[in-house]
Amino acid sequence: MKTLHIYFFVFFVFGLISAQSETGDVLIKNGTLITITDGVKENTDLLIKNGKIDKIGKNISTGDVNTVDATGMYVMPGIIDAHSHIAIDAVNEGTNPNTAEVWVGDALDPYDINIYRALAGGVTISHAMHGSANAIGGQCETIKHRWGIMNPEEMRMEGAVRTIKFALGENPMRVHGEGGRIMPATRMGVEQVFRNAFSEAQEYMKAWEDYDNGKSDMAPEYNIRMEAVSDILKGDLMIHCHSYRADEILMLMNVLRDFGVEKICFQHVNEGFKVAPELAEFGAYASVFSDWWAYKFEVYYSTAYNAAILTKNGVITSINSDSRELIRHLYHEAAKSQRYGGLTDNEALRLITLNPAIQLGIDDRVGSLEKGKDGDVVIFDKHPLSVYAIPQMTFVDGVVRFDINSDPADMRIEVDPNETMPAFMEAVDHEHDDSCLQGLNELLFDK
Amino acid sequence: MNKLILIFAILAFVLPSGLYGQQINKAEAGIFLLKGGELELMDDGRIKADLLIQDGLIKEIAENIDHPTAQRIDCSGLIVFPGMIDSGTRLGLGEVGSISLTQDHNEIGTYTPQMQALTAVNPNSVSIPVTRVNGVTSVLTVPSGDRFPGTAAMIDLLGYTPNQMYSGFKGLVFNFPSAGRRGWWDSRSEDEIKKANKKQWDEIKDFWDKAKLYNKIIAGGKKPDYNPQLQAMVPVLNKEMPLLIEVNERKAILSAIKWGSEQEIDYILTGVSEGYLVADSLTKYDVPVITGPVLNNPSRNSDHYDVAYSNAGKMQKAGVRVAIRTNETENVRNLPFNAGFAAAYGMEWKEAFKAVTIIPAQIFGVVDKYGSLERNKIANLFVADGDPFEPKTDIKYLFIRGYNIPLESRHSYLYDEFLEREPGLDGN
Amino acid sequence: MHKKLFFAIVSVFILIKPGLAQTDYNNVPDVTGKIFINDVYLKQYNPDTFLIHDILIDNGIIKNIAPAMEAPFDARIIEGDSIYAYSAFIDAFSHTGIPQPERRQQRPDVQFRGFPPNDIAGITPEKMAFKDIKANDKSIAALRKSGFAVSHVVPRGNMLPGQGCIISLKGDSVEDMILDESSSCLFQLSGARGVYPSTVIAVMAKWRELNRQAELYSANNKSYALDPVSKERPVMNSVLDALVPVVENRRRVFSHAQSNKDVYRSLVLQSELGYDVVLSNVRRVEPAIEALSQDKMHIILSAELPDAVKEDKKKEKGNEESAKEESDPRREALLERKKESIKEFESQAALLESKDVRFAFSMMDVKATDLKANLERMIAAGLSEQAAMNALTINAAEILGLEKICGSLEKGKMANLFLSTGPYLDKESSIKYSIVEGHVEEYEIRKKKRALSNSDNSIEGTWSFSIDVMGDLNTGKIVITKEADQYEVNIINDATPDDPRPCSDISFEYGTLSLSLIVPYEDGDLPVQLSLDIDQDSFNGTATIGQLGSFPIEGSKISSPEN
Repeated sequence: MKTLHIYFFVFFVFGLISAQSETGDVLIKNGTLITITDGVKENTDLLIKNGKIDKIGKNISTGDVNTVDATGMYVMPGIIDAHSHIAIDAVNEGTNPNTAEVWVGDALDPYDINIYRALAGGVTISHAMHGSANAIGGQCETIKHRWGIMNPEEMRMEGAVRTIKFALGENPMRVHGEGGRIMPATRMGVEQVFRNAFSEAQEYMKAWEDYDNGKSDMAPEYNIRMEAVSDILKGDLMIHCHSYRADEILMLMNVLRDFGVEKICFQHVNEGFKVAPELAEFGAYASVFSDWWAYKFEVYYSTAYNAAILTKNGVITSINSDSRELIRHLYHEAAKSQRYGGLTDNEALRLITLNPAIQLGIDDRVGSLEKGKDGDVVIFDKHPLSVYAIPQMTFVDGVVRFDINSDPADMRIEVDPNETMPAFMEAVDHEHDDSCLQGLNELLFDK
Repeated sequence: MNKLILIFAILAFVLPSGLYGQQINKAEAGIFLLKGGELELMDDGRIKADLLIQDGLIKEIAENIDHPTAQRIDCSGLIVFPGMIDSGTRLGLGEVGSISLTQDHNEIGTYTPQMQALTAVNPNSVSIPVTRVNGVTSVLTVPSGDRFPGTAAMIDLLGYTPNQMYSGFKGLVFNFPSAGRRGWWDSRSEDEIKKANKKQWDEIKDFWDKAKLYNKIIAGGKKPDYNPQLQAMVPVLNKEMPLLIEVNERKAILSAIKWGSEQEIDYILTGVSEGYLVADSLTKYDVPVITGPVLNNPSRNSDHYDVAYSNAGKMQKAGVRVAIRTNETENVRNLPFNAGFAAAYGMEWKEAFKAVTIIPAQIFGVVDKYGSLERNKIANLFVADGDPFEPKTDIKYLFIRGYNIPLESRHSYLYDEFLEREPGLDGN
Repeated sequence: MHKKLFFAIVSVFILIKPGLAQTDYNNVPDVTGKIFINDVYLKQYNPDTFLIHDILIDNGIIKNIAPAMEAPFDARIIEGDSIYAYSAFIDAFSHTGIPQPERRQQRPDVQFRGFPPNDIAGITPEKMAFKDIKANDKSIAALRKSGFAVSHVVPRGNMLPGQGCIISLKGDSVEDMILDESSSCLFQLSGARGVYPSTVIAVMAKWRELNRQAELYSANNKSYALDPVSKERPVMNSVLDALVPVVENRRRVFSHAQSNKDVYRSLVLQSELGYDVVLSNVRRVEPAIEALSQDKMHIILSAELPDAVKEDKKKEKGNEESAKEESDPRREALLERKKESIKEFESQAALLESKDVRFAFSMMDVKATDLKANLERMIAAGLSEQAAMNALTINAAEILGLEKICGSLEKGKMANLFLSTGPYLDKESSIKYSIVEGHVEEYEIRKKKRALSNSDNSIEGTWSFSIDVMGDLNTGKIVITKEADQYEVNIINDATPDDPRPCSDISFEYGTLSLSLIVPYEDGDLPVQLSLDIDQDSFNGTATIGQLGSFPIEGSKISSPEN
């Protein structure tokens, strides 16, 4: 579609022009480097230049570079959260079972204090996702936690794979079947939402192809939703699917096979362990909770051993937070896979570094300490898998974005001029079963 | 031929049990001798000693115990810990979060102190085994809801009836009015919330006065008309049962302390997330505090990122008696990790461990039976290969009420079944 | 009030179309359209000074401004002695004249929330603002009284409420007022309630789709017009029809963008889609500074500012509540941040001036009477007086394309000006005359009672009132009570003692009590506004009754409340 290409190009160019993210230089000396891909290196230095890892080795000497003494400390790649809803002003456009055209990247919020709190927990990148209200939700955005910048554009991780949120199971059924009295109200209906969307997109692509080839004179209708679904079929938009039950996971893989879509990352996938062999065979990825279960019926038959079982069956697995609370201690969540399933240190740390990077299509840039990769690095005072570990400094592109030694109480960037003391939030009972369904007051509660 | 038949017979016996389900191990009664391990005695340090469990109690602690019939459990290289107590949960009162008919902790009505959490506990809740395999042996399970939602109860995580599980402590819950927002969907201004609370206070005062009068009538020998709400208040007014006041915001905490001290009752503050700001008031009135979860976000956007992590430690250092809770339903098993984070962010390890063992036992008045490894206390304990706060640590043995509890739960059963699934991919 | 007489008088105004030669002897029409303002002060900048000139106006146009002119014998003379004349203000963006919709409507009953009808979805770019304007809406007179003569009015709604219009703030009917019936396309980043598009991301996606569709629609229509043979007939689409001028850069998009993030998002969309944009009602301008300095677009700054921090008056009370509040160790630092934030908002205008950006002001979120106080704060934060006045006049005229006919006091331009008792920005000065297209309105200057403080609650109680309406004396009682922080006022006319009228829009500031109420008459209701200056136990003020005009009212206190 030639018209679409120009459209996309203009946007892409603008993106390049306006987003110039800051990069920095730093020499981290004498730490224990957990590289993820090349073992653990004690008493080793790490040099970051112009935001990229330049050297790993002993006794690196370099001119006039900011130096951090990491003696006795642990250095690992910045943690990546593959499922998050922080830093966006809209989570759920819950008005239709298919809203493929909306994009959370349009509503980035660089002033969200949760970004800073995530940095204080060593997380440098998060996958800002649309919520799970719709079977076909909206497009997501992989963001870097560049705390302090004012321009939302500068949060984007340039070159990250484009992703879109799908959702199976109770959430879309509750929002549309129960809430809106339209399909899907059952898992049968959820399957048909996908088949309808994909089939209509195939027809849409054909109609435009005919027009572009001169077979018809009048341009067909431009439908931005069909444009997005077409991108999925063409492999330009990768599906990340919120899912729980084993049967629905299998259903979606079958649908994708029918339409020639090869890549998918399942999210939550609490019953993934029941179909680990099938997931491995398809080449599907899995991004799971460490130990959340029983908050809905579809997760009643879950196990905290999920990550271990999937890993041992050859599925590329990550542990995510889907919560502005959990994101602050993903290193601890990964450690739980040692109690529930006996994963090794490296297997456990891969769950929050290289594996989520692979799932987000950014493993050429981040996820391990290797020369040429981005300077996204965290320094811990103790081994990150210990419950007592406290992140000391977090770097994004070589720039210090969190430093425990210069961390005053109030780190907000923007302040509401109409309030002196920010509102006190009473403890929320079960934050997690609200997180994926945020923003749906009117649709769900205001009948 | 006989051998073949024998082999088939054996296979016939063995195979079906593999196909039709796992062996479920039961809790085992008996006499158990834990030999060669270290014992965590908290203020008294860690000592190398043997521990004998008999009649459901810790019968003996000494170096080199011997017993003719006891089952010997080799604890060399391992550490014995007192079972942990979570002083605020809804364990047993809820099964599936989104299905309200499985939730039994929140009854309709503003003033329902007579609702008994204990009777609604589901002893067969799937979450109970899931919890205890991490070393949590007792919990306080608490009703939720409006002003006076009901009476909480302490239970051990073993038993088939609520009475079997009951540990001997009950407390009446009071949700103190505060100026905080109830959730991200609550968009009222502070003034609107204050106004709503002022109205509530008049009603609360009215209710309290009625309860006092009711109590006075009973004390004078007369029998008032049936009134279960006021009847439930009598033990609190007579200082036979404490009031558990749930309050979190700074100003509200100060009001709660003032109000509680004026009423001549025993009270415990729960929640207390801004307690670190008013620790001196807490010590001044010697108010016991149950706080948590530690793994929680700050309550205000302007707060330091670790206020919830460091809250318990700050209060404890100022001299407050602090117990740690998870306030969870199905993930009470994270209690040791909550305590671990408190220890990471400023609380001494020993104090963090006490906060989930002896301190809640003291606060609930059951310290003669619970909270530490001492002779004649109930044998609620576990044996681990390291620090129970560390995820890497393995728990090897678990005892509740002196029963040897299998370290199994739904989660481990699913692991056993699906780690190497049979049939695997074939037949797809 | 004698109801029958009342009705008779009122019906004269309502039933008969004004403008025709009628025997309306209750008012006297203007004698002449010629006005001569004698010896009035005119503000000059560089150097800062005041010149004394005369102004001659005829038929709504400024005929001449010069010193020592001779007053024509047939002109109405206004003595300009110690009077200061200013070019009337232009409000560049607001809902002036469009009444507030009724209280939150019921959620629309739509079967498919994802495919609602366009009007429920908030997509009505074809709607024209002037159709919603009511000529007698309070806001028009309020703006005039604060020195305004022209307003760019945009419709209320969600994402694409419609096309804005420019009106002159004078006229008995909307048609009289229109200067430009379709001057803009309003775009807002706000979604519909409960239907698609409800979130900002859906609004942005939908906007992209509509732009693209409008381009194709226009191309298809042109192609069909050129040669319809063998082509499928393009179907009419009023939404796309209204957007074709936008995508062809013939109608500007006024993008309502209050916060930082709104501005960033507006810029992203404009850069992708290529239309001409005016950032409107902006509160934080930093994101757009670069684009503005390169003259790529225009900006309309909001005249609204966050409330200034009140100095603590609670210290004398010394009760436990405030003691507890003050002892929160976090409070001081947070208060400092709040003050800094307020300063940021106050210095936005100065920031624009420092970058040589010519901006205008929007009156959308600010009460007309608060404008001066806000300007003072902006000037204290670095904005020059001249820039402030330019923003309200010539800049706005340029942005709206009206610079030939208004925006400054020049020969040949519309006679839009106001006359003030002192330099406009002086605290004590008030506007005495408003002249819009030569139509003069005089205002009474009320002496401000300094003695009364704002929180004086001694007005509670029962008061008697008396008011003379065209020879008809009416008396009665005004009962004022206070509940928490809200006043409650009921008015009982002695003629109808069983029918107390409740009042609304009650405010009591600096000794003046203002309120509105409805008074029934034969077939309907009359709106009444009261403005009473209360001094101890007596008051006097004005009652504005429907279309009849203003009448003096006075009264005194009969009794105080019980406790």
